[in-house]
Amino acid sequence: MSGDGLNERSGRGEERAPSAEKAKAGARPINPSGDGLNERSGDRPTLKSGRAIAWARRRAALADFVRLYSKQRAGVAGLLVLIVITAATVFAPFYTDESELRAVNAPGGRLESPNSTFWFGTDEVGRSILLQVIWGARVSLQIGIVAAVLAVGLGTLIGMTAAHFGGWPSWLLMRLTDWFIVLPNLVLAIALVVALGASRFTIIVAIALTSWAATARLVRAQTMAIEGRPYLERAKALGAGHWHQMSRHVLPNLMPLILAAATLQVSSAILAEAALSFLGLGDPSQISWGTLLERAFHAGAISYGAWWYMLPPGLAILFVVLAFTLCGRAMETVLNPRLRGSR
Amino acid sequence: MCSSTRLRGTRITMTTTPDMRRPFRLAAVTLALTLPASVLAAPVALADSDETHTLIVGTAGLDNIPHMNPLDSGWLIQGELNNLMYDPMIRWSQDDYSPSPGLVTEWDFSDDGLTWTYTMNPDATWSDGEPITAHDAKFTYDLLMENPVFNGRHGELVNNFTSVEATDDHTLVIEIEEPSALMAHLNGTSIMIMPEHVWGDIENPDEYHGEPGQPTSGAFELAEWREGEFVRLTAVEDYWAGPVAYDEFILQNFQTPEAMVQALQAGEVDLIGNLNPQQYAALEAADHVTTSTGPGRRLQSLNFNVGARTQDGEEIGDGHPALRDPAVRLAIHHVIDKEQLVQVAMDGHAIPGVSLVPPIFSDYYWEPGDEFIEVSADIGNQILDDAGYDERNDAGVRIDPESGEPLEFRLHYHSDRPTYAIVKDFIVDWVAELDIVLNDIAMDTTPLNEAGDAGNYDIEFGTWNPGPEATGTLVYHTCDRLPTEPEPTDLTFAFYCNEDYDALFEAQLAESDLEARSEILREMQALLYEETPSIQMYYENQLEAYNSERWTNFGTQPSAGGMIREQQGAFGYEAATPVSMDGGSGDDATDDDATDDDTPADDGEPAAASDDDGAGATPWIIAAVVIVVAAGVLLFVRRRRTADERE
Repeated sequence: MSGDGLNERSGRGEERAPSAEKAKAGARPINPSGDGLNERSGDRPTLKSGRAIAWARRRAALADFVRLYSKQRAGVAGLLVLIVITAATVFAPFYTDESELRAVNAPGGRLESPNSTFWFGTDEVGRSILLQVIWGARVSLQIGIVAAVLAVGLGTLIGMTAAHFGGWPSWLLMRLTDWFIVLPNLVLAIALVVALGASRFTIIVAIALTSWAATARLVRAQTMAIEGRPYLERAKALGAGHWHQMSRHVLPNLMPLILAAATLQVSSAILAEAALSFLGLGDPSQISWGTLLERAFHAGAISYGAWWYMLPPGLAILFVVLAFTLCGRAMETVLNPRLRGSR
Repeated sequence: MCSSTRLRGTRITMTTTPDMRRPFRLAAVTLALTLPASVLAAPVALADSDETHTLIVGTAGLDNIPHMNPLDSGWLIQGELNNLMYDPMIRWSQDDYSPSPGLVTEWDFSDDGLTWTYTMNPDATWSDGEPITAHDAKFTYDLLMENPVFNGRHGELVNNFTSVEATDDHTLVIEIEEPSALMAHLNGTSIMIMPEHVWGDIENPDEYHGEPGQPTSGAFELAEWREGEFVRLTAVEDYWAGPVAYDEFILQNFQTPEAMVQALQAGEVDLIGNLNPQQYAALEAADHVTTSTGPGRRLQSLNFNVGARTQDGEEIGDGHPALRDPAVRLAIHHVIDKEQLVQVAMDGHAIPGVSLVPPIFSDYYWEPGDEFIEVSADIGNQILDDAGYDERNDAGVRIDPESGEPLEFRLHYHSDRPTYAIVKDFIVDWVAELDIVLNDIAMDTTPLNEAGDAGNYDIEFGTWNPGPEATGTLVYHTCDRLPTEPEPTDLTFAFYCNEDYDALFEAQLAESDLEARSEILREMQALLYEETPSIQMYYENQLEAYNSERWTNFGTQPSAGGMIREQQGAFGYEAATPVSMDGGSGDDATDDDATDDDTPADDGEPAAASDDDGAGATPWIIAAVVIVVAAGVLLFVRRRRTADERE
């Protein structure tokens, strides 16, 4: 993603108001970007409190977002997949028996191929693969999402700091970012997990620490663009401190970008978790899709021809990553009018 | 090989893939899997040509060995290579592991048991033609006594020597301080004799690294060693004990058993071992592969911390005080259903454990008989009630009356051994029936061993490869093995110390009569069984497979239904015959349970690698690849589309 595209995006607020006006007169005053207040051209009869206005604007922006998102077929498909998987994961305790994950309670025989009782077959102890995939989703998704949020949070913090303060701190932070960008992520993550010891927490930390850099660059560019806008100058003139500027003006404008970045980041975090677990660095006391693949490999599933042991977790990873990617792309498209343009 | 005297080695070797380097190794496997042809093309080509026959053995752990010094070998692999290249003074027989002639043809001792006379085989020669004499033996034993590195490894035997003399070229006389049962086998394959005419000129023999072309006393000479990749040995043409039927031996390293299995199916290696039950089952179905199994000596155990302390009684570590009470340990022993563990962990390819001597060493093995510890939670609970553990806390867990602490123990298991992750589920549940809580903790092998050595554990999983000489294993439970300083040690099992046991240990060591000695050794095992410093869960069977289109006649040890690899000797490899040379006389030297696969292939060219090597997995792997690629293309196309719109 180039810096150019970002600058384009920063102009969105101004561009969007007229286009929305054409589409639907009522939508005009409601502008999702932070500087909408100044453009309110007085066709609202009563001025409510600032908070009420802000909420009305957010509601409308959300409706706008939903409307545009629903036009993205792939995005909707991805969202549906995610909803199904999330529901299956969240409600797992209500329709499955967690205790059957323990080897002692294994209900089936050794490496049964798929049948009517065990839709995806069983592992070398007799546990249902389907059950393990469902419960593995909990760990995989949790690690993926938490790591992505952490990575994007860290990237945002560093990007905003670098853009806002400039000078040597900016230089320092950006060189650090460059350094992390050129490092091979997986190798660094492996080294971190080996050094810290395998657990769910360390995997999250390792993934987050190795994947924040790209977000930091994005956020820095966008922050600089936003800070160039006149209203921030006005805010400064009115005495707004660093914190106020950042939290009330810059961050809200960054949110769409951050959200899209985070969604895409989840995909790579889930993949990273699977890779680490497959290499034997996962939390051994938890079942995740990656550890399931590792176990299948070490149990000799390939030699045995037990495809039902390897395919379900592999496909689960594929679907979830695909779904997150589709959602992320759709969000990007919605939030960037230039991408949406001709459709 | 690796008798248990090689303590560090055995312990670490068992970790087929130790901890830290694992990911990188796995990465390498992936590479190896994708590029096997380029790596192995050369040896395979050799095996196929008319003139040379090369036996290629796939193994794991070759990348662990730091050197190939025959006198300083602690790793299983080093032992295998030593057996191929050198002959010991006294062999462990192929039939039943009893001491049998090697370089020595006869041995005898004086009435007081303090003077031993060994007669060397006059026909034995080094591979450079020089005779192997008693002077070589004296030279080697002197070296073991004087050199601190070698002495650290072999002191158990040689520190008892008062003098070693070669009275003539073929007679060696050793005088010892205390009578010792070890003299009847001189530690078998653990100690190889080195040529004085070569080693006498080496300045620092403990730094000898293993050099190609050195004269050897065994069937092979070292030709090439590429560290971590393979070791190539060439057969000695006029080996004094009878040359092998082929020309070269290659020990090829693999990062995981799975890669090894694929290589065997693809015809890239000829013999592999250490399979898991699934791989074994898969290979049983393959046409050109014959499987072989036999009782092994690998022991899987649960070790208690019976109160880590120094010899002076100073406590170290943080073990639970209740585990010092044999009653608690015995109660836990009563709920471990070993038969079920054999089924669950090994699909039946194991023998339920008793004590430290596996049944293949039948001379010393102890059958519990009437003293068998019945699997019964009722008995276990009764023992605990009788021993005063009858109070329970709010959570219903028994309380130790002395320390007031609840009976909650940590259970350390290796995060890189999938079988343990399964077994521990059973253990935790069974022990819960005693109102004792086990908290299972997964650890990498290195930190787990460190915690174990420092006494910072309650119960831990462990594995051990006992040798034919029981002393080497049983010594780990003697009081002398407790640390002298409050420091970590790997010289003791479970920090166990019992004066009765020590007395028996001394008695058997001084007993020269085999039958009387066996009796004492059995008594020691019975004591350990009852006192339970550790619970021996099961002895794993060796699961092996070889390419029966190319090779036949592998020798097993014990000769009836034994193992081919990891023997106490090189009988397995040395007896192997290429099928093309065998002339159809394959009279089932390997009478294992899979002889129906013993294809009497025609003389002449061994068939090229067959085309059914995927064993049914291939179509599914292809399907998976197709799906992944399709998804990738889909994503790419979508990106392209949006990118077009962006421009």
